[in-house]
Amino acid sequence: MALPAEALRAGGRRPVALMGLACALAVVAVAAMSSGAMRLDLLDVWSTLLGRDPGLDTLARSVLLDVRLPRVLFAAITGAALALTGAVMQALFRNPLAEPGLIGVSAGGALGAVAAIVLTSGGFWILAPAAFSGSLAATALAYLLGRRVPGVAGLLLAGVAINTIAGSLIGLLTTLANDTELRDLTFWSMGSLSDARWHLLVWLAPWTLLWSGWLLRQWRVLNALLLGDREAQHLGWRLVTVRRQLIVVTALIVGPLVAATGGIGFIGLVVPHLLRLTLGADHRWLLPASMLGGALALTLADWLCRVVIMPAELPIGLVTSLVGGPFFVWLLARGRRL
Amino acid sequence: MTLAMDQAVLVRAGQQVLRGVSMQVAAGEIVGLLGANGAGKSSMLGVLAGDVRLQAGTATLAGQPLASLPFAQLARQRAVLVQQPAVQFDLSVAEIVAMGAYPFPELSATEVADQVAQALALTGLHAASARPYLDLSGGEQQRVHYARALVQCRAGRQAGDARFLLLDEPTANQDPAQQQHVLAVAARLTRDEGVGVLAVLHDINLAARWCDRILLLAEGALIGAGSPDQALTPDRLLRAYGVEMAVVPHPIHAGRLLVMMR
Repeated sequence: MALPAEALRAGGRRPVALMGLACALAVVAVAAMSSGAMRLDLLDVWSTLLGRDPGLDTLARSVLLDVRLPRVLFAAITGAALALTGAVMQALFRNPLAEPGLIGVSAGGALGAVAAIVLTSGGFWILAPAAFSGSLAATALAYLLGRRVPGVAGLLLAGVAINTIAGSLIGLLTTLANDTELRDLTFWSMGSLSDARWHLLVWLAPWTLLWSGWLLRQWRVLNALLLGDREAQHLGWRLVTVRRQLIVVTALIVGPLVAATGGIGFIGLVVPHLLRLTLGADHRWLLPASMLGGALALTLADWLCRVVIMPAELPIGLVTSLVGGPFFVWLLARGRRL
Repeated sequence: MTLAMDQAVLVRAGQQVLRGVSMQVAAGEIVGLLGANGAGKSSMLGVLAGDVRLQAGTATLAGQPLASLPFAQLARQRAVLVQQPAVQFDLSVAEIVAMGAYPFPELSATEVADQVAQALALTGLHAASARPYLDLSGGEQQRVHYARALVQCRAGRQAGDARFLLLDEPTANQDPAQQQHVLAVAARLTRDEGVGVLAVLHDINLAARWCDRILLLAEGALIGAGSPDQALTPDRLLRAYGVEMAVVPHPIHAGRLLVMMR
Protein backbone atom coordinates (compact mmCIF):
# COMPACT_ATOMS: atom_id res chain seq x y z
CA MET A 1 0.00 0.00 0.00
CA ALA A 2 2.93 2.34 -0.50
CA LEU A 3 1.79 3.63 -3.85
CA PRO A 4 -0.88 6.19 -2.87
CA ALA A 5 1.30 7.75 -0.18
CA GLU A 6 3.98 8.10 -2.80
CA ALA A 7 1.52 9.52 -5.31
CA LEU A 8 0.30 12.04 -2.73
CA ARG A 9 3.80 13.33 -2.23
CA ALA A 10 4.66 13.00 -5.92
CA GLY A 11 7.90 11.26 -5.09
CA GLY A 12 9.57 14.39 -3.77
CA ARG A 13 9.48 16.07 -7.17
CA ARG A 14 7.49 19.01 -5.91
CA PRO A 15 9.74 20.05 -3.00
CA VAL A 16 12.69 19.85 -5.40
CA ALA A 17 10.85 22.08 -7.88
CA LEU A 18 10.18 24.65 -5.15
CA MET A 19 13.84 24.63 -4.14
CA GLY A 20 14.88 25.00 -7.77
CA LEU A 21 12.58 28.00 -8.27
CA ALA A 22 13.89 29.63 -5.08
CA CYS A 23 17.51 29.18 -6.19
CA ALA A 24 16.78 30.51 -9.68
CA LEU A 25 15.05 33.51 -8.13
CA ALA A 26 18.08 34.26 -5.95
CA VAL A 27 20.46 34.02 -8.91
CA VAL A 28 18.32 36.20 -11.18
CA ALA A 29 17.78 38.75 -8.42
CA VAL A 30 21.51 39.15 -7.78
CA ALA A 31 22.25 39.31 -11.51
CA ALA A 32 19.54 41.95 -11.97
CA MET A 33 20.99 44.01 -9.14
CA SER A 34 24.46 43.93 -10.63
CA SER A 35 23.52 45.13 -14.11
CA GLY A 36 22.31 48.50 -15.29
CA ALA A 37 23.83 51.82 -16.23
CA MET A 38 26.41 51.31 -13.51
CA ARG A 39 27.74 47.78 -13.64
CA LEU A 40 28.46 46.15 -10.28
CA ASP A 41 30.41 43.01 -9.59
CA LEU A 42 28.19 39.99 -8.85
CA LEU A 43 30.24 38.97 -5.84
CA ASP A 44 30.24 42.51 -4.48
CA VAL A 45 26.46 42.59 -4.74
CA TRP A 46 26.16 39.24 -3.02
CA SER A 47 28.39 40.09 -0.10
CA THR A 48 26.82 43.55 0.36
CA LEU A 49 23.42 41.87 0.55
CA LEU A 50 24.79 39.49 3.16
CA GLY A 51 25.81 42.48 5.26
CA ARG A 52 29.56 42.40 4.57
CA ASP A 53 31.48 45.35 3.21
CA PRO A 54 33.28 44.49 -0.04
CA GLY A 55 34.53 48.05 -0.35
CA LEU A 56 32.01 49.53 -2.76
CA ASP A 57 32.17 53.31 -3.00
CA THR A 58 29.31 55.40 -1.64
CA LEU A 59 27.70 55.91 -5.03
CA ALA A 60 27.78 52.24 -5.95
CA ARG A 61 26.48 51.31 -2.54
CA SER A 62 23.67 53.79 -2.85
CA VAL A 63 22.76 52.58 -6.36
CA LEU A 64 22.61 49.04 -5.06
CA LEU A 65 20.79 49.58 -1.77
CA ASP A 66 18.53 52.54 -2.54
CA VAL A 67 17.68 51.91 -6.19
CA ARG A 68 18.24 48.36 -7.36
CA LEU A 69 17.48 46.36 -4.23
CA PRO A 70 14.04 47.95 -3.69
CA ARG A 71 13.34 47.65 -7.40
CA VAL A 72 14.15 43.93 -7.52
CA LEU A 73 12.24 43.31 -4.30
CA PHE A 74 9.31 45.23 -5.71
CA ALA A 75 9.39 43.19 -8.94
CA ALA A 76 9.63 39.93 -7.01
CA ILE A 77 6.78 40.76 -4.65
CA THR A 78 4.55 42.07 -7.43
CA GLY A 79 5.20 39.01 -9.58
CA ALA A 80 4.63 36.65 -6.67
CA ALA A 81 1.36 38.32 -5.74
CA LEU A 82 0.04 38.47 -9.32
CA ALA A 83 0.81 34.80 -9.98
CA LEU A 84 -0.65 33.77 -6.64
CA THR A 85 -3.87 35.71 -7.13
CA GLY A 86 -4.08 34.30 -10.67
CA ALA A 87 -3.85 30.75 -9.35
CA VAL A 88 -6.43 31.50 -6.66
CA MET A 89 -8.87 33.06 -9.13
CA GLN A 90 -8.53 30.12 -11.49
CA ALA A 91 -9.66 27.82 -8.69
CA LEU A 92 -12.32 30.19 -7.38
CA PHE A 93 -13.89 30.62 -10.81
CA ARG A 94 -13.10 26.99 -11.63
CA ASN A 95 -11.76 28.42 -14.84
CA PRO A 96 -8.17 28.09 -16.03
CA LEU A 97 -8.38 31.40 -17.90
CA ALA A 98 -9.28 33.55 -14.93
CA GLU A 99 -6.59 36.14 -14.40
CA PRO A 100 -6.69 39.62 -12.82
CA GLY A 101 -5.96 41.27 -16.19
CA LEU A 102 -8.26 39.23 -18.38
CA ILE A 103 -11.34 39.34 -16.21
CA GLY A 104 -11.07 43.06 -15.55
CA VAL A 105 -9.85 43.15 -11.95
CA SER A 106 -6.78 45.14 -12.93
CA ALA A 107 -8.86 47.44 -15.14
CA GLY A 108 -11.21 48.03 -12.21
CA GLY A 109 -8.22 48.89 -10.06
CA ALA A 110 -6.91 51.16 -12.80
CA LEU A 111 -10.24 52.96 -13.03
CA GLY A 112 -10.19 53.53 -9.29
CA ALA A 113 -6.64 54.84 -9.45
CA VAL A 114 -7.30 57.12 -12.45
CA ALA A 115 -10.40 58.51 -10.76
CA ALA A 116 -8.28 59.24 -7.72
CA ILE A 117 -5.63 61.03 -9.79
CA VAL A 118 -8.11 63.18 -11.73
CA LEU A 119 -10.85 63.82 -9.18
CA THR A 120 -8.78 64.23 -6.01
CA SER A 121 -5.49 65.73 -4.97
CA GLY A 122 -3.88 62.36 -5.70
CA GLY A 123 -1.11 60.77 -3.72
CA PHE A 124 -0.58 57.10 -3.11
CA TRP A 125 -2.69 57.00 0.06
CA ILE A 126 -5.77 57.94 -1.92
CA LEU A 127 -4.72 55.96 -4.97
CA ALA A 128 -4.39 52.62 -3.14
CA PRO A 129 -7.83 52.42 -1.50
CA ALA A 130 -9.43 53.77 -4.68
CA ALA A 131 -7.70 51.04 -6.71
CA PHE A 132 -8.74 48.45 -4.14
CA SER A 133 -12.39 49.52 -4.40
CA GLY A 134 -12.21 49.36 -8.18
CA SER A 135 -10.66 45.88 -8.10
CA LEU A 136 -13.22 44.63 -5.63
CA ALA A 137 -16.15 45.93 -7.64
CA ALA A 138 -14.72 44.43 -10.84
CA THR A 139 -14.10 41.00 -9.25
CA ALA A 140 -17.60 40.87 -7.81
CA LEU A 141 -19.06 41.92 -11.15
CA ALA A 142 -16.99 39.34 -13.05
CA TYR A 143 -18.10 36.67 -10.61
CA LEU A 144 -21.80 37.53 -10.88
CA LEU A 145 -21.80 38.00 -14.67
CA GLY A 146 -19.56 35.00 -15.31
CA ARG A 147 -22.03 32.69 -13.64
CA ARG A 148 -24.77 33.61 -16.10
CA VAL A 149 -23.00 31.87 -18.96
CA PRO A 150 -21.42 28.57 -17.94
CA GLY A 151 -17.89 27.56 -18.80
CA VAL A 152 -14.91 29.56 -19.94
CA ALA A 153 -16.94 31.82 -22.23
CA GLY A 154 -19.05 33.49 -19.54
CA LEU A 155 -16.13 34.71 -17.53
CA LEU A 156 -14.19 35.93 -20.55
CA LEU A 157 -17.24 37.80 -21.83
CA ALA A 158 -17.69 39.38 -18.43
CA GLY A 159 -14.01 40.35 -18.59
CA VAL A 160 -14.49 41.92 -22.02
CA ALA A 161 -17.44 43.91 -20.71
CA ILE A 162 -15.64 45.07 -17.58
CA ASN A 163 -12.47 45.95 -19.46
CA THR A 164 -14.52 47.92 -22.01
CA ILE A 165 -16.50 49.82 -19.40
CA ALA A 166 -13.44 50.56 -17.27
CA GLY A 167 -11.47 51.54 -20.38
CA SER A 168 -14.11 53.99 -21.59
CA LEU A 169 -14.50 55.53 -18.14
CA ILE A 170 -10.73 55.90 -17.91
CA GLY A 171 -10.83 57.62 -21.34
CA LEU A 172 -13.57 59.94 -20.14
CA LEU A 173 -11.62 60.85 -17.01
CA THR A 174 -8.54 61.47 -19.13
CA THR A 175 -10.35 64.13 -21.13
CA LEU A 176 -11.21 65.85 -17.85
CA ALA A 177 -7.63 65.84 -16.66
CA ASN A 178 -5.39 68.92 -16.66
CA ASP A 179 -1.79 68.84 -17.84
CA THR A 180 -0.19 67.81 -14.56
CA GLU A 181 -2.75 65.08 -13.97
CA LEU A 182 -2.30 63.90 -17.53
CA ARG A 183 1.43 63.51 -17.01
CA ASP A 184 0.80 61.55 -13.81
CA LEU A 185 -1.71 59.39 -15.66
CA THR A 186 0.53 58.60 -18.59
CA PHE A 187 3.43 57.78 -16.34
CA TRP A 188 1.26 55.56 -14.18
CA SER A 189 -0.66 53.73 -16.89
CA MET A 190 2.48 52.57 -18.70
CA GLY A 191 2.86 49.98 -16.01
CA SER A 192 6.21 50.37 -14.39
CA LEU A 193 8.21 49.27 -11.43
CA SER A 194 10.38 52.36 -11.55
CA ASP A 195 8.44 53.87 -8.67
CA ALA A 196 10.09 51.35 -6.37
CA ARG A 197 11.37 53.15 -3.30
CA TRP A 198 11.74 52.04 0.28
CA HIS A 199 8.98 54.32 1.56
CA LEU A 200 6.55 52.44 -0.68
CA LEU A 201 7.98 48.99 -0.02
CA VAL A 202 8.00 49.23 3.77
CA TRP A 203 4.27 48.90 3.89
CA LEU A 204 3.40 47.37 0.47
CA ALA A 205 5.67 44.37 1.01
CA PRO A 206 4.35 43.31 4.43
CA TRP A 207 0.78 44.06 3.33
CA THR A 208 1.09 41.89 0.23
CA LEU A 209 2.96 39.10 2.00
CA LEU A 210 0.49 39.07 4.88
CA TRP A 211 -2.51 38.50 2.62
CA SER A 212 -0.53 36.14 0.41
CA GLY A 213 0.23 34.08 3.48
CA TRP A 214 -3.47 33.90 4.22
CA LEU A 215 -4.14 32.73 0.67
CA LEU A 216 -1.42 30.05 0.89
CA ARG A 217 -3.27 28.52 3.82
CA GLN A 218 -6.46 28.16 1.76
CA TRP A 219 -5.06 25.31 -0.37
CA ARG A 220 -7.58 22.76 0.88
CA VAL A 221 -10.67 24.74 0.02
CA LEU A 222 -9.18 25.74 -3.34
CA ASN A 223 -8.63 22.07 -4.16
CA ALA A 224 -12.18 21.26 -3.06
CA LEU A 225 -13.51 24.06 -5.28
CA LEU A 226 -11.94 22.32 -8.29
CA LEU A 227 -14.44 19.51 -7.77
CA GLY A 228 -17.42 21.85 -7.78
CA ASP A 229 -19.44 24.12 -5.51
CA ARG A 230 -21.61 21.38 -4.05
CA GLU A 231 -18.64 19.11 -3.48
CA ALA A 232 -16.75 21.85 -1.63
CA GLN A 233 -19.81 22.36 0.53
CA HIS A 234 -20.05 18.62 1.22
CA LEU A 235 -16.43 18.71 2.33
CA GLY A 236 -17.33 21.32 4.94
CA TRP A 237 -17.01 24.83 3.52
CA ARG A 238 -19.72 27.48 3.49
CA LEU A 239 -19.40 28.67 -0.06
CA VAL A 240 -20.85 32.15 0.34
CA THR A 241 -18.29 32.92 3.03
CA VAL A 242 -15.36 31.31 1.25
CA ARG A 243 -16.05 33.14 -2.01
CA ARG A 244 -16.49 36.49 -0.33
CA GLN A 245 -13.25 36.08 1.61
CA LEU A 246 -11.26 35.01 -1.45
CA ILE A 247 -12.61 37.84 -3.60
CA VAL A 248 -11.94 40.50 -0.97
CA VAL A 249 -8.43 39.28 -0.17
CA THR A 250 -7.56 39.07 -3.87
CA ALA A 251 -8.70 42.66 -4.34
CA LEU A 252 -6.79 43.71 -1.20
CA ILE A 253 -3.64 42.39 -2.84
CA VAL A 254 -4.20 43.42 -6.47
CA GLY A 255 -5.67 46.90 -5.84
CA PRO A 256 -2.66 48.54 -4.15
CA LEU A 257 -0.27 46.73 -6.52
CA VAL A 258 -2.13 48.15 -9.52
CA ALA A 259 -2.04 51.56 -7.87
CA ALA A 260 1.72 51.27 -7.45
CA THR A 261 2.69 49.64 -10.73
CA GLY A 262 -0.04 50.35 -13.27
CA GLY A 263 -1.16 47.39 -15.33
CA ILE A 264 1.11 44.34 -15.54
CA GLY A 265 -0.78 41.63 -17.35
CA PHE A 266 -0.57 37.92 -17.95
CA ILE A 267 1.78 36.96 -15.11
CA GLY A 268 -1.22 35.54 -13.25
CA LEU A 269 -2.20 33.50 -16.29
CA VAL A 270 1.13 32.23 -17.61
CA VAL A 271 2.93 31.32 -14.40
CA PRO A 272 0.28 29.13 -12.70
CA HIS A 273 -0.36 27.42 -16.04
CA LEU A 274 3.22 26.44 -16.69
CA LEU A 275 3.54 25.23 -13.12
CA ARG A 276 0.32 23.22 -13.32
CA LEU A 277 1.71 21.47 -16.38
CA THR A 278 4.74 20.29 -14.45
CA LEU A 279 3.53 20.02 -10.85
CA GLY A 280 -0.19 19.29 -11.22
CA ALA A 281 -3.11 21.28 -9.85
CA ASP A 282 -2.78 20.48 -6.14
CA HIS A 283 -2.80 23.94 -4.53
CA ARG A 284 -0.70 22.85 -1.63
CA TRP A 285 2.23 22.99 -4.05
CA LEU A 286 0.82 25.16 -6.81
CA LEU A 287 0.34 28.24 -4.60
CA PRO A 288 3.87 28.49 -3.19
CA ALA A 289 5.32 27.49 -6.57
CA SER A 290 3.27 30.24 -8.24
CA MET A 291 4.63 32.82 -5.84
CA LEU A 292 8.22 31.79 -6.53
CA GLY A 293 7.59 31.43 -10.27
CA GLY A 294 5.81 34.79 -10.48
CA ALA A 295 8.62 36.48 -8.58
CA LEU A 296 11.17 34.88 -10.89
CA ALA A 297 9.25 35.80 -14.06
CA LEU A 298 8.72 39.45 -13.18
CA THR A 299 12.23 39.96 -11.83
CA LEU A 300 13.56 38.55 -15.09
CA ALA A 301 11.18 40.66 -17.19
CA ASP A 302 12.05 43.83 -15.29
CA TRP A 303 15.74 43.13 -15.65
CA LEU A 304 15.29 42.80 -19.42
CA CYS A 305 13.27 46.04 -19.52
CA ARG A 306 16.05 47.89 -17.79
CA VAL A 307 18.96 46.65 -19.88
CA VAL A 308 17.65 45.95 -23.41
CA ILE A 309 17.52 49.56 -24.63
CA MET A 310 19.77 51.13 -22.01
CA PRO A 311 19.80 53.91 -20.89
CA ALA A 312 16.06 54.02 -21.71
CA GLU A 313 13.61 51.52 -20.22
CA LEU A 314 10.91 49.39 -21.80
CA PRO A 315 7.54 49.53 -20.01
CA ILE A 316 7.26 46.20 -18.19
CA GLY A 317 3.57 45.80 -18.98
CA LEU A 318 4.59 45.72 -22.62
CA VAL A 319 7.04 42.85 -22.09
CA THR A 320 4.69 40.68 -20.04
CA SER A 321 1.93 41.18 -22.62
CA LEU A 322 4.35 40.44 -25.45
CA VAL A 323 5.03 37.03 -23.91
CA GLY A 324 1.60 36.50 -22.39
CA GLY A 325 -0.54 37.35 -25.42
CA PRO A 326 0.78 34.56 -27.66
CA PHE A 327 0.69 32.20 -24.67
CA PHE A 328 -2.99 32.97 -24.23
CA VAL A 329 -3.62 32.23 -27.91
CA TRP A 330 -1.77 28.94 -27.52
CA LEU A 331 -3.91 28.04 -24.49
CA LEU A 332 -7.11 28.68 -26.42
CA ALA A 333 -5.85 26.74 -29.44
CA ARG A 334 -4.82 23.84 -27.24
CA GLY A 335 -8.43 23.08 -26.35
CA ARG A 336 -10.09 21.58 -23.32
CA ARG A 337 -7.29 20.08 -21.32
CA LEU A 338 -6.08 23.10 -19.38
CA MET B 1 -28.96 7.61 15.38
CA THR B 2 -30.97 8.56 12.30
CA LEU B 3 -30.98 10.87 9.34
CA ALA B 4 -34.62 11.76 8.88
CA MET B 5 -37.22 14.04 7.37
CA ASP B 6 -40.69 14.65 8.68
CA GLN B 7 -43.58 16.06 6.63
CA ALA B 8 -40.98 17.55 4.28
CA VAL B 9 -42.27 19.96 1.66
CA LEU B 10 -39.88 21.29 -0.98
CA VAL B 11 -40.95 23.75 -3.66
CA ARG B 12 -38.84 24.49 -6.70
CA ALA B 13 -39.86 26.87 -9.48
CA GLY B 14 -43.45 26.82 -8.23
CA GLN B 15 -43.58 23.01 -8.30
CA GLN B 16 -43.86 20.84 -5.20
CA VAL B 17 -40.91 18.49 -5.54
CA LEU B 18 -41.46 16.84 -2.18
CA ARG B 19 -45.04 16.65 -0.85
CA GLY B 20 -44.99 15.96 2.87
CA VAL B 21 -42.44 13.15 2.85
CA SER B 22 -41.54 11.42 6.11
CA MET B 23 -38.68 8.94 6.07
CA GLN B 24 -35.54 7.98 7.92
CA VAL B 25 -32.25 6.20 7.47
CA ALA B 26 -30.87 4.52 10.57
CA ALA B 27 -27.23 3.78 11.33
CA GLY B 28 -26.25 0.34 10.09
CA GLU B 29 -28.79 -0.01 7.29
CA ILE B 30 -28.63 0.48 3.56
CA VAL B 31 -31.73 2.08 2.07
CA GLY B 32 -32.48 2.24 -1.65
CA LEU B 33 -34.29 5.28 -3.02
CA LEU B 34 -36.19 4.45 -6.19
CA GLY B 35 -38.54 6.28 -8.51
CA ALA B 36 -38.95 7.54 -12.05
CA ASN B 37 -36.92 10.44 -13.43
CA GLY B 38 -38.14 13.66 -11.82
CA ALA B 39 -39.82 11.87 -8.91
CA GLY B 40 -37.77 13.91 -6.42
CA LYS B 41 -34.99 11.44 -5.56
CA SER B 42 -32.08 13.83 -6.03
CA SER B 43 -34.00 16.62 -4.28
CA MET B 44 -34.54 14.36 -1.29
CA LEU B 45 -30.85 13.54 -1.26
CA GLY B 46 -30.03 17.26 -1.51
CA VAL B 47 -32.23 18.00 1.51
CA LEU B 48 -30.63 15.21 3.56
CA ALA B 49 -27.15 16.40 2.51
CA GLY B 50 -27.97 19.86 3.86
CA ASP B 51 -27.74 21.53 0.43
CA VAL B 52 -31.38 22.52 0.15
CA ARG B 53 -33.73 24.07 2.71
CA LEU B 54 -37.29 22.82 3.13
CA GLN B 55 -40.29 25.11 2.82
CA ALA B 56 -42.15 23.12 5.47
CA GLY B 57 -41.45 20.13 7.67
CA THR B 58 -38.10 19.17 9.19
CA ALA B 59 -34.91 17.41 8.18
CA THR B 60 -32.77 16.22 11.07
CA LEU B 61 -29.49 14.47 11.76
CA ALA B 62 -29.47 12.64 15.10
CA GLY B 63 -32.42 14.80 16.16
CA GLN B 64 -30.77 18.12 15.26
CA PRO B 65 -32.21 20.21 12.43
CA LEU B 66 -29.84 20.03 9.45
CA ALA B 67 -30.25 23.78 8.88
CA SER B 68 -28.72 24.49 12.30
CA LEU B 69 -25.54 22.47 11.67
CA PRO B 70 -22.52 24.31 10.22
CA PHE B 71 -21.12 22.75 7.05
CA ALA B 72 -17.82 21.94 8.72
CA GLN B 73 -19.63 19.85 11.31
CA LEU B 74 -21.96 18.31 8.74
CA ALA B 75 -18.93 17.22 6.71
CA ARG B 76 -17.75 15.17 9.68
CA GLN B 77 -21.13 13.49 9.99
CA ARG B 78 -21.96 12.51 6.45
CA ALA B 79 -20.39 12.02 3.03
CA VAL B 80 -22.15 12.67 -0.25
CA LEU B 81 -21.59 11.34 -3.75
CA VAL B 82 -23.39 13.44 -6.34
CA GLN B 83 -23.74 12.65 -9.99
CA GLN B 84 -20.41 13.01 -11.82
CA PRO B 85 -18.76 16.29 -10.92
CA ALA B 86 -16.93 17.96 -13.82
CA VAL B 87 -13.26 18.43 -12.97
CA GLN B 88 -11.23 20.42 -15.47
CA PHE B 89 -7.94 20.57 -13.66
CA ASP B 90 -5.06 18.17 -13.64
CA LEU B 91 -5.39 16.31 -10.34
CA SER B 92 -4.25 12.76 -9.72
CA VAL B 93 -6.65 10.05 -8.58
CA ALA B 94 -5.03 9.88 -5.14
CA GLU B 95 -5.19 13.67 -4.74
CA ILE B 96 -8.94 13.71 -5.34
CA VAL B 97 -9.56 10.73 -3.07
CA ALA B 98 -7.48 12.34 -0.30
CA MET B 99 -9.86 15.32 -0.29
CA GLY B 100 -12.27 13.07 1.58
CA ALA B 101 -10.07 13.60 4.63
CA TYR B 102 -10.26 17.45 4.48
CA PRO B 103 -12.99 17.63 7.16
CA PHE B 104 -10.60 15.83 9.55
CA PRO B 105 -7.49 18.01 9.85
CA GLU B 106 -6.51 16.13 13.00
CA LEU B 107 -5.56 13.07 10.94
CA SER B 108 -1.85 12.66 10.24
CA ALA B 109 -0.50 12.38 6.68
CA THR B 110 0.14 8.67 7.25
CA GLU B 111 -3.40 8.07 8.46
CA VAL B 112 -4.78 9.89 5.43
CA ALA B 113 -2.52 7.94 3.06
CA ASP B 114 -3.71 4.75 4.73
CA GLN B 115 -7.39 5.65 4.31
CA VAL B 116 -6.77 6.62 0.69
CA ALA B 117 -5.01 3.32 -0.03
CA GLN B 118 -7.88 1.34 1.50
CA ALA B 119 -10.55 3.28 -0.39
CA LEU B 120 -8.66 2.84 -3.65
CA ALA B 121 -8.36 -0.88 -3.00
CA LEU B 122 -12.09 -1.11 -2.20
CA THR B 123 -13.03 0.60 -5.45
CA GLY B 124 -10.55 -1.30 -7.60
CA LEU B 125 -8.54 1.84 -8.37
CA HIS B 126 -5.34 0.95 -6.56
CA ALA B 127 -3.33 0.67 -9.76
CA ALA B 128 -4.68 4.03 -10.98
CA SER B 129 -3.59 5.90 -7.85
CA ALA B 130 -0.99 8.16 -9.46
CA ARG B 131 -2.78 8.53 -12.79
CA PRO B 132 -4.32 11.85 -13.87
CA TYR B 133 -8.05 11.85 -13.16
CA LEU B 134 -8.76 13.25 -16.61
CA ASP B 135 -7.22 10.19 -18.28
CA LEU B 136 -9.77 7.82 -16.74
CA SER B 137 -13.02 6.57 -18.28
CA GLY B 138 -16.35 7.97 -17.07
CA GLY B 139 -17.03 4.91 -14.94
CA GLU B 140 -13.60 5.05 -13.34
CA GLN B 141 -13.99 8.78 -12.66
CA GLN B 142 -17.28 8.09 -10.89
CA ARG B 143 -15.52 5.49 -8.74
CA VAL B 144 -12.81 8.02 -7.83
CA HIS B 145 -15.51 10.17 -6.25
CA TYR B 146 -17.01 7.12 -4.59
CA ALA B 147 -13.59 6.37 -3.11
CA ARG B 148 -13.41 9.99 -1.90
CA ALA B 149 -16.79 9.63 -0.18
CA LEU B 150 -15.59 6.36 1.37
CA VAL B 151 -12.52 8.11 2.79
CA GLN B 152 -14.72 10.86 4.25
CA CYS B 153 -17.03 8.27 5.77
CA ARG B 154 -14.41 5.95 7.20
CA ALA B 155 -12.21 8.81 8.44
CA GLY B 156 -15.35 9.96 10.23
CA ARG B 157 -15.75 6.58 11.86
CA GLN B 158 -12.12 6.70 12.93
CA ALA B 159 -12.66 10.15 14.42
CA GLY B 160 -15.64 8.82 16.35
CA ASP B 161 -18.31 10.83 14.53
CA ALA B 162 -21.63 9.39 13.49
CA ARG B 163 -21.68 8.65 9.80
CA PHE B 164 -24.09 8.58 6.93
CA LEU B 165 -23.32 8.04 3.29
CA LEU B 166 -25.59 9.56 0.65
CA LEU B 167 -25.13 8.20 -2.86
CA ASP B 168 -26.79 9.67 -5.93
CA GLU B 169 -26.73 6.96 -8.60
CA PRO B 170 -23.47 5.36 -7.48
CA THR B 171 -23.85 2.64 -10.11
CA ALA B 172 -24.20 5.03 -13.06
CA ASN B 173 -21.63 4.33 -15.80
CA GLN B 174 -20.57 1.09 -14.10
CA ASP B 175 -20.50 -2.31 -15.79
CA PRO B 176 -22.69 -5.02 -14.22
CA ALA B 177 -19.86 -6.47 -12.13
CA GLN B 178 -18.86 -3.04 -10.84
CA GLN B 179 -22.50 -2.19 -10.02
CA GLN B 180 -22.63 -5.20 -7.72
CA HIS B 181 -19.25 -4.35 -6.26
CA VAL B 182 -20.13 -0.71 -5.52
CA LEU B 183 -23.19 -1.81 -3.53
CA ALA B 184 -21.35 -4.68 -1.87
CA VAL B 185 -18.81 -2.16 -0.54
CA ALA B 186 -21.62 0.08 0.75
CA ALA B 187 -23.35 -2.91 2.35
CA ARG B 188 -20.14 -3.96 4.07
CA LEU B 189 -19.76 -0.40 5.39
CA THR B 190 -23.19 -0.62 7.03
CA ARG B 191 -22.44 -4.00 8.58
CA ASP B 192 -18.84 -3.52 9.71
CA GLU B 193 -18.83 0.14 10.65
CA GLY B 194 -22.48 0.91 11.41
CA VAL B 195 -22.78 3.53 8.69
CA GLY B 196 -26.24 4.40 7.39
CA VAL B 197 -26.42 4.45 3.59
CA LEU B 198 -29.05 6.02 1.34
CA ALA B 199 -28.55 5.24 -2.36
CA VAL B 200 -30.51 6.53 -5.33
CA LEU B 201 -30.77 3.58 -7.70
CA HIS B 202 -32.40 2.85 -11.03
CA ASP B 203 -31.89 -0.89 -11.23
CA ILE B 204 -34.78 -2.38 -9.26
CA ASN B 205 -33.25 -5.84 -9.00
CA LEU B 206 -29.94 -4.43 -7.83
CA ALA B 207 -31.80 -2.49 -5.14
CA ALA B 208 -33.79 -5.56 -4.10
CA ARG B 209 -30.61 -7.58 -3.88
CA TRP B 210 -28.55 -5.19 -1.73
CA CYS B 211 -30.88 -2.92 0.22
CA ASP B 212 -32.31 -3.58 3.67
CA ARG B 213 -35.15 -1.22 2.92
CA ILE B 214 -36.59 0.50 -0.12
CA LEU B 215 -38.20 3.92 -0.45
CA LEU B 216 -40.32 4.29 -3.57
CA LEU B 217 -41.02 7.85 -4.69
CA ALA B 218 -43.63 8.98 -7.20
CA GLU B 219 -44.22 12.65 -7.98
CA GLY B 220 -42.70 13.83 -4.74
CA ALA B 221 -44.61 11.45 -2.46
CA LEU B 222 -43.60 8.18 -0.86
CA ILE B 223 -45.75 5.39 -2.24
CA GLY B 224 -43.84 2.50 -0.73
CA ALA B 225 -41.46 1.99 2.16
CA GLY B 226 -40.25 -1.21 3.73
CA SER B 227 -38.34 -4.35 2.91
CA PRO B 228 -37.83 -4.98 -0.82
CA ASP B 229 -40.61 -7.59 -0.69
CA GLN B 230 -43.04 -5.16 0.89
CA ALA B 231 -42.17 -2.07 -1.12
CA LEU B 232 -41.62 -3.47 -4.58
CA THR B 233 -45.03 -4.81 -5.54
CA PRO B 234 -46.32 -4.81 -9.13
CA ASP B 235 -49.04 -2.23 -8.41
CA ARG B 236 -46.63 0.16 -6.69
CA LEU B 237 -44.09 -0.22 -9.48
CA LEU B 238 -46.84 0.53 -11.99
CA ARG B 239 -47.64 3.72 -10.10
CA ALA B 240 -43.98 4.70 -9.81
CA TYR B 241 -42.78 3.94 -13.32
CA GLY B 242 -45.94 3.56 -15.39
CA VAL B 243 -44.94 0.13 -16.65
CA GLU B 244 -46.26 -3.29 -15.76
CA MET B 245 -43.84 -5.55 -13.96
CA ALA B 246 -44.06 -9.11 -12.78
CA VAL B 247 -42.44 -10.59 -9.69
CA VAL B 248 -41.05 -14.06 -10.33
CA PRO B 249 -38.91 -16.37 -8.21
CA HIS B 250 -35.22 -15.87 -8.88
CA PRO B 251 -33.90 -18.80 -10.94
CA ILE B 252 -30.58 -18.96 -9.06
CA HIS B 253 -31.01 -17.83 -5.46
CA ALA B 254 -33.78 -17.50 -2.93
CA GLY B 255 -34.80 -13.93 -3.82
CA ARG B 256 -37.22 -12.58 -6.35
CA LEU B 257 -36.75 -11.14 -9.78
CA LEU B 258 -38.66 -8.20 -11.18
CA VAL B 259 -39.17 -8.32 -14.91
CA MET B 260 -40.84 -5.88 -17.22
CA MET B 261 -43.90 -7.28 -18.95
CA ARG B 262 -43.14 -5.61 -22.25
